[in-house]
Amino acid sequence: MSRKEGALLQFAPMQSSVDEGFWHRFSSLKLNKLGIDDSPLPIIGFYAPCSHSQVSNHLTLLAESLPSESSDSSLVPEPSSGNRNKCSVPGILYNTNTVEGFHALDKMKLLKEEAAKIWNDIVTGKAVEDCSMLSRFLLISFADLKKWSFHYWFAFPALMLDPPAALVNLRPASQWLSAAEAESLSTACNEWRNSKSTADVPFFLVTIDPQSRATVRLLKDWDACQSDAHKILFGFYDPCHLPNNPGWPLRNFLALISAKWNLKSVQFLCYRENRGFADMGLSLVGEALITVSEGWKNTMPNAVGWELNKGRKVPRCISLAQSMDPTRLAVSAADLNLKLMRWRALPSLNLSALSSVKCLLLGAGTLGCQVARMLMAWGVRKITLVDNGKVAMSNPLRQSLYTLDDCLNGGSFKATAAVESLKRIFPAVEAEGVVMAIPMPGHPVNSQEQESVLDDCRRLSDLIDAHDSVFLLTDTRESRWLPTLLCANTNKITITAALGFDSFLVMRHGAGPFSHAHGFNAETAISSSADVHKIKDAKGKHRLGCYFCNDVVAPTDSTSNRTLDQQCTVTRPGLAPIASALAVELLVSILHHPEGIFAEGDISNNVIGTSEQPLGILPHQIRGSLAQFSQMTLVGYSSPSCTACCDTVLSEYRNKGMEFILQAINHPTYLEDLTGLTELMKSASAFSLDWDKDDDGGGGGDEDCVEI
Amino acid sequence: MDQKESVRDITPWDGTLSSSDFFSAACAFSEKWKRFNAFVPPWLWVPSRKHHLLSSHKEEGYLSLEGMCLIKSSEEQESCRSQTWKEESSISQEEEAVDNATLVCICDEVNHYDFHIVYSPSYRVPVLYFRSYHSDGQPLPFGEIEKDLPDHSAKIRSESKWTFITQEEHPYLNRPWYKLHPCGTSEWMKLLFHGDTALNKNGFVIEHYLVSWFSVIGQVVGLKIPLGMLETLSC
Repeated sequence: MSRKEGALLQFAPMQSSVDEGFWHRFSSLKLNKLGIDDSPLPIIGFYAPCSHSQVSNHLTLLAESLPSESSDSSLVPEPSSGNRNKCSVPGILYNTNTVEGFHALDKMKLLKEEAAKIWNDIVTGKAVEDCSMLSRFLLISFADLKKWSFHYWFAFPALMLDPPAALVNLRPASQWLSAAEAESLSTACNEWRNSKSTADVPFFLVTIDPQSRATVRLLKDWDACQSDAHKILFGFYDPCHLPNNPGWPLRNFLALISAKWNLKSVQFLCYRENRGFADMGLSLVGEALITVSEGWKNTMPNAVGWELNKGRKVPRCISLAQSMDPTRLAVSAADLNLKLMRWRALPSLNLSALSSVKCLLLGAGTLGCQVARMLMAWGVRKITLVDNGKVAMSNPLRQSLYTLDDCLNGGSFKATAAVESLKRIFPAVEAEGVVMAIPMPGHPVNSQEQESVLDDCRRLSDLIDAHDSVFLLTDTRESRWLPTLLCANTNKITITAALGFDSFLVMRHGAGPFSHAHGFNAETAISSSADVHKIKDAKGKHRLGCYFCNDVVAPTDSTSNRTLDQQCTVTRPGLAPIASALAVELLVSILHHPEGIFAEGDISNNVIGTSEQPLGILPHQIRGSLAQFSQMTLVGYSSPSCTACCDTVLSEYRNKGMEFILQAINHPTYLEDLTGLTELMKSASAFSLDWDKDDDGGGGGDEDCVEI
Repeated sequence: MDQKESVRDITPWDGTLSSSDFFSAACAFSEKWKRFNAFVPPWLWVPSRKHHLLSSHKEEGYLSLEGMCLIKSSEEQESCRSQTWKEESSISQEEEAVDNATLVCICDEVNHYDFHIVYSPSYRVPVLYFRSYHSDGQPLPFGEIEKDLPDHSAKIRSESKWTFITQEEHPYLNRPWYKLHPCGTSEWMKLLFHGDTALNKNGFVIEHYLVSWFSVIGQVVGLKIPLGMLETLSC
């Protein structure tokens, strides 16, 4: 289809395409080598003839468009193999250090400077030698390396003919050439494209002799062409696919032809391919009429060329946070791991329950550090750690979140250091540290401290309310009392881990005696006053016990008057990781059990069969011994005289609130009196318990899993 | 070499390939592809640039098929990529010369796809990696890619626990690409060559490994394998 004579020759604009790899490499270059240096950087762009009938080719920037970090920064590396698809053209990059700087760049000035380089190459003849100079381009950018977004704007300087060239006709090459000529030209072009020395030369001459033989030649052979040519075409790699318009590179080509060889009528070939081979149906041949004045080439012509963004003269912006932000990459990798577990092994894995459960860890020591890490491995994101201690020099060896740095200058607070450590491991964790002591019975407070102790009690209560699951990981028995009570009162998932020298206990507390977390109903008030021991939970089932249910003594001061080795954490190192891991796995099993904390306690057995739940059994207590390398599961039911979770104690708490707590703290026998344990003591003469607090013998006979 | 072959005859094949076998399989595959597929770009071997302490293996690398274009119809051209850009940085009319020689055209939105076939040393099977981007280079999120995948792809992925798409670091390019997870590949490759231990002779398995593999994998991403290539398997 030919165009009318004398119509304005309109060129399809060059389009840009920037591969992700370019921005990756540029970011790295900026961070590691360039710093704040914003001097212009030479870069290489690549384009190739159009190879698709419906999609234009673009001027592309890849990672190799930039110099590598190791080499001299003024050098630009050679393009890699396959250069028939990547004709390199020179470009320049102006990257600013601020977005204001980006907007303030004098765009017309920069465009003129690059256009001047092209004009200069034309006038001096350099463009004939190295024709890729005709497609020189300009790129301005601002790389925001905090948000991983890149603002950029390309300009493809084109020298304007004045007046503009007119189009005489334009049609597919197969219609302009004879069949023999077309075949010969195809062959010649394919050879040109397959030869390493010419494959990436984007401007060339075509001569066709009277015998229909076509030859493709370099521009510098222009003089030699004059004699033997029957037809001469000015050919160029055309990235554009449109059937009625030539591509952008023709503009500067015409400027060259006019300035250098003074031609008025130019026959040009828009060379296009199809699937890697010359295609004379897609390629176009046209005739342009140049009517510039005599003096046109004496001064540098005007230039245009800023790329439009969806029709508007504004810059572009690309966001690569998804693929470059390390935190996001860490999150998606972690999610992938869990999803793989679900897809491959455990389809009923409830990942959203794990990512939304809020865990409160009381104690950030040997157990606390390991539990926190294991929780993160399961995809738990919301973790709060409570500890009032500081990191001591002996801690980093056994407490896996701390390093030597945390011990210096008196030691950081454990709760704070633990949270920082968790964030270093996995930045997307939502971790909080609370530096606070847990009020304990048997550690009386004087009247000045009273208010602050009550504050701590309230704070602990608030913390427990705000979380779904509580881990009791402290190093004394009595520090577990108040949390146990508060958890029983609100039916929170409560998991205790306790270590002996070479044995451990990991257990989940049963549900509390009341059906509602708060609120005090008349029923229970009456029943407690009627002295009916309520051993059933809200669902009417026999409640599983808590940590204190098996006790016959109230928690008292176990720390004073003990010998050093009983006071400090002296356990076999392997114990804490084992117990911590079991504690976390126990939580995950609870979360997957339809009855949650109301689930009955299972006992492991040797029968190989399908257990009810996909994750296996849900035990109540796990007691293990390293001396035996053995482990067993047990079930213990709640005691009606339990100092922490029986309904008598809880009702008293609901009645009197903090006043009750204070009494328990200050008067160690208060709890025993309240629960009737005192009576039990007196009446059971078979027990020979030693009430004397000064006794430092192996306290309590076979209480092996109590301390630390 | 003889001993290796006889061992292969005896031991049942586990569906996997060695690294050098992968190279041979890749060569066979790309050559067949060119022969039967005149209308699609060829698979090119890209040698890897990973450094080995010992002399570099010439055979290390991956197969690459780049530049598959999917033209979006105008209804699908949402402004999901809309950037609210203030005119802080525009060029006023007076500054740039009036130029009527520039054609004003609105081009179709095109999604470009690149596919790589990369060998996985830990699973010992090939893995298909792919990515998609708009013409200006902006990468497509998976939600957009899913719209381009053929309908039966979602069906295959939900039914078979072997086939799912994940985003992981490309082993050579160090950037996140999408891939079809290889955990089940050796299992279904065994099934494809089921019972034909005789096929292990003369490297038949190696030569046809990628063709068979691709006949399954290609369906998930909508790449068709021409019938002619498949027929060479039955000889």
